[in-house]
Amino acid sequence: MMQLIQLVQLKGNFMIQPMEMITESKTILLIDDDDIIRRLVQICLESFANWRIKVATSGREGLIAIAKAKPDAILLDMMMPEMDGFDFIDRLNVEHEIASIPIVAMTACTNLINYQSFIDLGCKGIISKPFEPITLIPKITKILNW
Amino acid sequence: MNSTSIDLNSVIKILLVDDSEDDRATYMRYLRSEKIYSYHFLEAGTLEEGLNLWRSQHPDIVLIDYFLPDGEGWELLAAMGEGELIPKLAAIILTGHEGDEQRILQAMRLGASDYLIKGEITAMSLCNRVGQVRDRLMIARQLERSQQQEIVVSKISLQVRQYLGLDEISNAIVQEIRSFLNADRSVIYKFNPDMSGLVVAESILPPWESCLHRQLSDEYFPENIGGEYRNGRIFVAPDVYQANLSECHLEMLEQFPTRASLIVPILRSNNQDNPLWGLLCTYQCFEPRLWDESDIRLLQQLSVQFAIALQQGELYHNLQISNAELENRVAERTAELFKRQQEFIALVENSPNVILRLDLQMRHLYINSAAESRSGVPVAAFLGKTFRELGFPKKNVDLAETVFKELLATGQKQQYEIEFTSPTGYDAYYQVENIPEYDLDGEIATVLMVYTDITANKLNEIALTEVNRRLTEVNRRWQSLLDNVRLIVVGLNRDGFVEYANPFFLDSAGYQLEEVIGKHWFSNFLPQIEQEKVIGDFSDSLLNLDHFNKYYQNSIVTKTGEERMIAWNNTILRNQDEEFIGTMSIGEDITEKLKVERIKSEFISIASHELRTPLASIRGALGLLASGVLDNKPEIAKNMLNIAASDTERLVRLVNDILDLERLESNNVNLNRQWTDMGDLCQQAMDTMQALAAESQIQIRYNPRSQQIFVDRDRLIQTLVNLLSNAIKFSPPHSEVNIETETLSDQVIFRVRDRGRGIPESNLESIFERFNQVDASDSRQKGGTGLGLAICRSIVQQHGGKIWIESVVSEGSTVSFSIPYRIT
Repeated sequence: MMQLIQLVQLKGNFMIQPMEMITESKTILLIDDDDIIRRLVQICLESFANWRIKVATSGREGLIAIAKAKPDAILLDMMMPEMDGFDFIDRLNVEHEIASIPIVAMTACTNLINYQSFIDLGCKGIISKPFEPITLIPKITKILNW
Repeated sequence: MNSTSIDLNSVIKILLVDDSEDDRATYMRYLRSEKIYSYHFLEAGTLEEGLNLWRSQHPDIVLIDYFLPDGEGWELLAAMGEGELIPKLAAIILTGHEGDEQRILQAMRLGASDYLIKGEITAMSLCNRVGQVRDRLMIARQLERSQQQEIVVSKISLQVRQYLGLDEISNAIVQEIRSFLNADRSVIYKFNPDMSGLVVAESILPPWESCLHRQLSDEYFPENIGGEYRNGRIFVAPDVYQANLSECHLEMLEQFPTRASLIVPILRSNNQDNPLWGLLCTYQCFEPRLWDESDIRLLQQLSVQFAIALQQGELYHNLQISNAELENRVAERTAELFKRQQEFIALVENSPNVILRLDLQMRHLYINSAAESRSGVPVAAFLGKTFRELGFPKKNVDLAETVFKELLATGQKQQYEIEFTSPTGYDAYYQVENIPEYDLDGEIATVLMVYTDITANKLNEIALTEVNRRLTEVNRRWQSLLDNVRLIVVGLNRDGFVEYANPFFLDSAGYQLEEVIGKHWFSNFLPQIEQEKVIGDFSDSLLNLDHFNKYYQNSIVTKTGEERMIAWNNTILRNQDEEFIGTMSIGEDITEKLKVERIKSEFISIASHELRTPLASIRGALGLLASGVLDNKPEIAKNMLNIAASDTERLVRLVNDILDLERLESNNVNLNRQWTDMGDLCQQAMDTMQALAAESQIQIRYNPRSQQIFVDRDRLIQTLVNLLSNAIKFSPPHSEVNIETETLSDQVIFRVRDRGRGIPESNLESIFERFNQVDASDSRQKGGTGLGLAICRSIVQQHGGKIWIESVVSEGSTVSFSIPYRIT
């Protein structure tokens, strides 16, 4: 456990620099079934950037939330019960109006094949779990070219 | 041919023997009064004179006066009767007295024809008596002459029948004619086709000049005369100068010369177109001659005989030619046969085959030289001996005798094989052929045996048999391999039709052999959707055999319509000329393998997700704490620490469960079985879970039942705890969870019943699969790993039992498992 923390600290120190640059206010829709992950991501994004976070616990909830929240981007967990990330994207693509919202996939199982398949689906990029909280924002801004 | 022939036409000579000159003159005067006949008279006065004239002049009729100066008439008659040359007596006795009967009788006995009484003789009586004698004489002469003529014809006919040569017969005929007819010349004249001709035979009285071989021009024979001759016309000319002949004809006749001629044609009856062969001619050269009818008949008869001789000659000639031809042919044939025989003997003697001829007692009549070299027995020693007597190996002799008997019984050619080692040690195989030879009665006379050395063939055959045996063995092995290999083997011809399918394919795909062989593989055994692509790939491969698609994957359709994915290893089949004849493909059914791989891949995907999620939490929480953003938020910081701690625990559980399940499913766990009371097991599980149950305000109920079972105690408690844990987690507060046990004859059943929310029917089947919770969020909320039921199932299966779940949504679920007393 100690080793893990030290590693995180080392990386954390290295990555602190960019977060202070994020000032533009963005609305992010976070869709994840895991409470803890959701909360962690929310804390990370709200702590290091001036972003507003809307959450949904499933793809279905996410579809409803999009209309309300009008997010600038969607942070999407791919592995969820009921409507998973793939189904969600399919549905999103059907509705042209909101299809232009960029999606960043979050997944615990990543490999090259999956990566390519996500890109093929229309995702802008992938953030793999587990992730380093302080690198989350730089990763997202880099993927979305913000 | 010098016999005296009778000349019918000559003048009758009458000898008058009388001592009275007056009487003689009177008689002559009387006889000269005869109008029809004219006589030539000879006169004698004495017996002696009469006898001399008789002997020298051969008179036809004699008138004898009985009383003569030097003897009596009977003495003359007696003397005239002596000697060969005397023809039949034609004598009339003249006597002086009537009633002198004794003398008359004596004279008649001695051959006198008649008598006259002197003094009573008148011209009329004399002429009558002489005429009667003359007539008798003429008749006798004619008879004699025709007899002679018959003899001549018979003689010639005999010669003809004796097949004498034509020249000989020709000469005999002309000779006989001339002599018999007292002619000057007699010839046979032969016509050429142009009516010219040649004298081919001649008989001539000297001093007349011979005309034999004289050639006569056709102008002497005008067409009309030839034609007349052809019709059988006879040319009779007593005097050619009186015959109204043409100048030309006379000129020709004068060449010979000719005064009287008798000519008959020689006609061949066997030649209808030109029957006239030639002429048979007889001539008087100087004097005219009245030709008698008998003369003509004689010539006609002889011309017929000559014609017969001619035909005979032709036939004989033809026969001789035929005979000569026949003889030539016989000679040629004989020569040929001799040559053949020589060749045949040479062939037989130089033949490498042993050739024998045996009599019916199997004694050798003939053997060729090969027999000697092959057997080491001299040729001479063979002859007259049987195989047995020659001491050949018993096995061979027995066989030879058996076959020989068979041949005699059936008359059929026999064939068999023997093995024979020559004295020089040459070990040989022979094919023996026994051939019956028949005599003219159709009976078997001898038997020909021909031994052909077939050693080389035999050795080849033996080698071939061995090769075949090995080949068969190899084939059998291959066949066995193909029949028993747990791989699909399919052979296609170049057009894609099935030529071979092994039993494994038939078994696994559910087809009968006849449903497969001869069928087009791609259209019958591939899913519709894949056909076009696979046919295309197959065709493309065949276009460039060097880049043949050795490895290939496609689905096949079983009889039941199920699709199976097959990984093929294809081989090109070629014939001896290296021409492509088809393919042989070995296929592995990788459907299950793919499924396992897919499941494995899914499991890895899920497992990594399950592992990474708590890791993500831990890292995220610790990362936040480390970043210092929570320094002023101690509540959140503490919360983060709790998250990290709880997810660390969860991670540990998860890792433990994964490893546990992996061990169970890989059969690496040895159950530690012992006799245990099932009531104790339930009690212990219940005790373990009591705290959690109390915390959730759940009541666990169990009615203990005692039963010894042979199980791994810890594993079974683990199972029960797991099930209880699930039941508690999903039960609403203040509800009950029941443990029930049931003892059956062969097994015990455990049940854990809750009154929770229940499980939708669609999820019941997969509930025991790994990470297959009804709701993924449950794992986080309820603290499960998603592996519990999978572990339970594995433990129960290890004990030989089954696990199942019954559930009604909103009413609760019951998970049951059975443990058999005996493990099979």
